[in-house]
Amino acid sequence: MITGRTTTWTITTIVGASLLAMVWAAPALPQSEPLLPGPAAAQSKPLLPWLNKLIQQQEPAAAQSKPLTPSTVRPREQPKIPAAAQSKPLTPPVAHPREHAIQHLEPAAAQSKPLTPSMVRPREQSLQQPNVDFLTDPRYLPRQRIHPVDPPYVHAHEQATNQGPKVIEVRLVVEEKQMVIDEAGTKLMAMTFNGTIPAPAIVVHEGDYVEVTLVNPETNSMPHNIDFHAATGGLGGGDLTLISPGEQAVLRWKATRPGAFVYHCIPGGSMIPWHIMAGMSGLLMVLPRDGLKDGAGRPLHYDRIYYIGEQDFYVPRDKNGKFKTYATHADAFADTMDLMHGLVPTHVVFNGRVGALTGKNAMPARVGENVLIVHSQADRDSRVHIIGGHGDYLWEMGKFANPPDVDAESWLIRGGSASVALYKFLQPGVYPYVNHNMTEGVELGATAHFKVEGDWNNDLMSQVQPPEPIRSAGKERGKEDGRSTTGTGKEATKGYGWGIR
Amino acid sequence: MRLVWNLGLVATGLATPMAIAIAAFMPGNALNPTASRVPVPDLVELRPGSFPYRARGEFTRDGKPARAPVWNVTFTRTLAVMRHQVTEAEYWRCAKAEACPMIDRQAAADDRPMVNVNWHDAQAYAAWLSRETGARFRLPTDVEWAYAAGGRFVDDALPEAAYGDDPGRRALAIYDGPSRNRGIDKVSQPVGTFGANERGLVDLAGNVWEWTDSCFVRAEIEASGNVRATLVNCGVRVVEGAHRAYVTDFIRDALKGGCAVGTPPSNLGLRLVRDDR
Repeated sequence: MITGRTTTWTITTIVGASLLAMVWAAPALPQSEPLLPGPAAAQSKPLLPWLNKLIQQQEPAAAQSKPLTPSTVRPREQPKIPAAAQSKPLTPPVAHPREHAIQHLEPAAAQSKPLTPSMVRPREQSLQQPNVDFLTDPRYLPRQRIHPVDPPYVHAHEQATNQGPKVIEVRLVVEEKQMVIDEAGTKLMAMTFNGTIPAPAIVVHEGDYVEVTLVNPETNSMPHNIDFHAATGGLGGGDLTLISPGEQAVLRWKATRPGAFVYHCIPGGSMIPWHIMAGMSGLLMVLPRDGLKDGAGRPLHYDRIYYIGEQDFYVPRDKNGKFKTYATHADAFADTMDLMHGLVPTHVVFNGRVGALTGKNAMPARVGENVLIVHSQADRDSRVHIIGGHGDYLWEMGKFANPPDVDAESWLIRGGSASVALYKFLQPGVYPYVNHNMTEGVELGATAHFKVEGDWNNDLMSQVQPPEPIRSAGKERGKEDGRSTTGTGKEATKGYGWGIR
Repeated sequence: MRLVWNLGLVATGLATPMAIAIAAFMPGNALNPTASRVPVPDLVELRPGSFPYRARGEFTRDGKPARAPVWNVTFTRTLAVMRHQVTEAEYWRCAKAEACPMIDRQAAADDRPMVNVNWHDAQAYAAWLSRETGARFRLPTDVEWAYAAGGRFVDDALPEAAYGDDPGRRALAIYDGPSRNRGIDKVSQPVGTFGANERGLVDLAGNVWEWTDSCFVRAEIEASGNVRATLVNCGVRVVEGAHRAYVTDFIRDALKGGCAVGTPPSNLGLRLVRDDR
């Protein structure tokens, strides 16, 4: 059965493929060798070189309809590939990929010459004869699919990598639903990426391409899209991903700036703050390829990483002051927007609800472990503090090309950004991690707990004297508020010195 | 065999015609339901007996934190305790009579325990109920509460090992204790939801904690084994439920407990005893 969408896709594919075929057929190719001597291509006949090209161009899908652009690369955008990676053969090319590309473009001259900057072709020629760089062209890079996990946890990743850039595939599914956000059972008409507030953390490396498939299932009621603060142009991708229920879109963007960045829904007008306040924000962290470093360039590593997404909620109340529950998102819209205009949230929480990171859900760690705490707020300024702890290294603006601050006390999370702190726990115990506007931290919900196991260090702290009466005031035995209720029964007399009651 | 008094039914039966008769002589009050006599609540009479009581408060031995001792306590007389916690309907009746503070809270339902009450609210309710019923009611002491709770009493004393020189371990032991690490459930449930104990009292150690009249105590365990109180703070009272807690008397919602680690009481309510002295 061919649905409407399938037909559209087919047409797009054909048009895109034809366009590419034209682009590739235009220059007289000096040899009939396929661009990439893969197994399938090698077997095809030289009679149909354009078909080989077409087959080669079928991956990845997103690249099909776009002509290639010249690769006049700024040094900044050049991915830093460690020496170890450069000597390794990359897949899929079999020979040195750069050499191979040159061979194709300038068959006679290039073979004997080393690559020099002057050989980069000017723009006009590149449009006709694309300058393919196998090290950076996402069509030829290895692909890796990320399976995000629910916050505060972060999917497995390399802190530093000796591999070359990859195309990182990730699938985000928009889910509109009702979610309980406090212990009183208050229900929020929530909107989420992948069902969680915050949306999952995604970790890539500088120079990687992020290829996100955004899915808006038919069960949803509204259009959604995604704006990656780490991406460049096109409203961070929002312009190219606005999809209605029943649609999906694929966006690829290059991670050029190392740091922790927010991503969020940005569907336009009042939908923007509403969708963000309903939970549609998450974190995308771009690590330097050679990992985090201190101010002197020494490498830093972490034993654990936690992602805390802070969120302000605005839940309308009824005439009696009770939080209202709505049947649909549309019902909730007008009241919620009215409340949002007052800018006073009813809840300020970490990870979607009051107590999401306390008690059984407290974040475990051990004495001596370095914990990377990544904290985002897509909407509103916050300031966080570890009670009893510090930030050994702090990227307050979350961007790793800047040297980290050291010995941080409390740090600002600018609305619409993420901060990164690295802390080695030195004492066991429970560490509340709070929004240090304590009204927000305690009353409105923005408190998490770290639970740290290990041995106590008496040098760092010791209890010299447990609480006892002030000595200079004399030691008067306590007397219970002047009343003499002694219970209903005859009780043991030793008690606290005056009898138990 | 326990003697269970159900004075409530008896009192209602007698009081209603009387109230109507009186109302006839009180203009403007005829339609006011509070004018009718307040029934004596359903009480459970506990027999005399002994039980081991885990002392409340914080203790030191040789200048270091120590585990609370256990004392054998004997009740030589009966103790009449409310079968269920004071309900929303019961408390609001007192509030409407302007004898209890109006609490800025949306009532859940008549048949649910009253929550968001502080110690002073509880005192006011006891005073009003005593006036209205002619019987004397008061908050239980902590010892009385523990006796009434029987098998539902939660002894959350830490293991001896938690009282070493490691404050971190102690904090973790408190945090991980089963009674503390139970999550917070603020939604009050209909009376009876948490079942009855072996004495017929319902909803003990559910999600509504109960105020007691006992003050916070700090005490020293002397070498002889005697316990000597060094401080009694009656601005902080003991509340009992799924774990013991010490709550400042004007607090109505212990959940907002500042930096205190561990899970605070989900809700604060009350259950009174009849003062038979």
